[in-house]
Amino acid sequence: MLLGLAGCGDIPKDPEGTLDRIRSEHLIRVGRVEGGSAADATAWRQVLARLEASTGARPVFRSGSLEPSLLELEAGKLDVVVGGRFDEKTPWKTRVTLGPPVGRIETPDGVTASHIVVRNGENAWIMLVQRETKAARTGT
Amino acid sequence: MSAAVPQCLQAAMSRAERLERWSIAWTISVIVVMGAAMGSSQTMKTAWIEDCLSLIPPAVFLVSARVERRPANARFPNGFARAPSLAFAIAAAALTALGGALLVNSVMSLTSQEHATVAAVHIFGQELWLGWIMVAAQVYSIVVPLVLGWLKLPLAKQLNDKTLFTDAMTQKANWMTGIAGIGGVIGIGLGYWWADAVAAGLISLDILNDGIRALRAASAELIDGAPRALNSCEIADDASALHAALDTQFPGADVHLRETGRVISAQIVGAPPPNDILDPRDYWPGDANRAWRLGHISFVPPSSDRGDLPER
Repeated sequence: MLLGLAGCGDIPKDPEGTLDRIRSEHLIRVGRVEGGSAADATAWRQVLARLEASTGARPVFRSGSLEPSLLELEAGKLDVVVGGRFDEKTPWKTRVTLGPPVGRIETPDGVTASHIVVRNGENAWIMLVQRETKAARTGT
Repeated sequence: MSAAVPQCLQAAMSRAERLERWSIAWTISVIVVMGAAMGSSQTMKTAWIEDCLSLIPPAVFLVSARVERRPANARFPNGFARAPSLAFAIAAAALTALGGALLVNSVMSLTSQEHATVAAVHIFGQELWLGWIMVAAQVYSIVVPLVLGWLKLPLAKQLNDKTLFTDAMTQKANWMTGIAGIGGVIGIGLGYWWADAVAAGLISLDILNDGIRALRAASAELIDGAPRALNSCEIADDASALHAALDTQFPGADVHLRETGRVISAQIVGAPPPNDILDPRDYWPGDANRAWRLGHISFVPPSSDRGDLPER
């Protein structure tokens, strides 16, 4: 029964309707964090290309620094924030949803990774972003 | 008077102890399953804490069953029949405090409009929404307490054991929590962000209710209140009947009943003991199989200071 229910693609839905809006307006509002490395940029560009292909929506960029972008994401003014590099123990973890880590760098001071960040609770959109991030990483 | 468990209840008592040991093992399995599926859902976290708390009554029961059997000694001439009441009062206070804290927590996540993220997990290479795993874990957490509670209730009534009864009630609260929890998770799936916090709030109300009920029962006994019914804070029916029977037998005397663990103690204030009747069983009105309920009876002779006798 559970698998039967799981089969219907409507669950989970986004409480604020992010994925539905992206599909109907054909726009993904992307916050781009300034000053990231070229390697990180290559990685998130691949993910965005995949998201563009699966939703039929075009990314619209808005550049900014990390925390102001995250605040806009939290408020629902952005759909996704790319190019941010986070400490493994970042307190932002509870306020926004960090995608799978890409390009982990270990230094004696700690571990950082690049994450594509999505607003909390937009579960259908989160699942799609995570799926495409993983797919881009494995190159499938 | 030190025999806290009457002879005729020994078999039921050891069955109850065996059941409580199994209960702990099964509850731990529920805690592991729920913990693995918890994610960042407030509902799941609250339900998981309630599952952890449901270990307290069986543990209290097992420890106190041991302590209860200790013989009385010079330092504790009345034996240890009340040890469970003390343990229970402490556990009830903890339960109440925790229920309150969880309630505040879910009200806060409701007012700050926290949206719970429940994303995907990968099992055998298949992508599956974590919510379905949570629902499956909740179903397991319903079945276990449903069966355990159903087994415990008749034993609790037979033994007139408050700890065991409260335990059975906690099991009931637990499977109802499971149903509320499933509602919360499905609510998230349907895009209602508040479903999570609302379900968590309902569950914490339930924990709070459990705690207050247990606290009332335990404190009534600790301050020598009249024996209470197992399922309410009213005076037990058999105690009322006993009170009436003793009243007719000793007119003019005060009858004080209190409960020590599972047995009733009667004190007849202002009457000398009769010469012919010796066994407490003989004072018990009604069903002879329940006569063990009257554990002991004592008499306080009439005193002029209380006004039982004319002043000298």
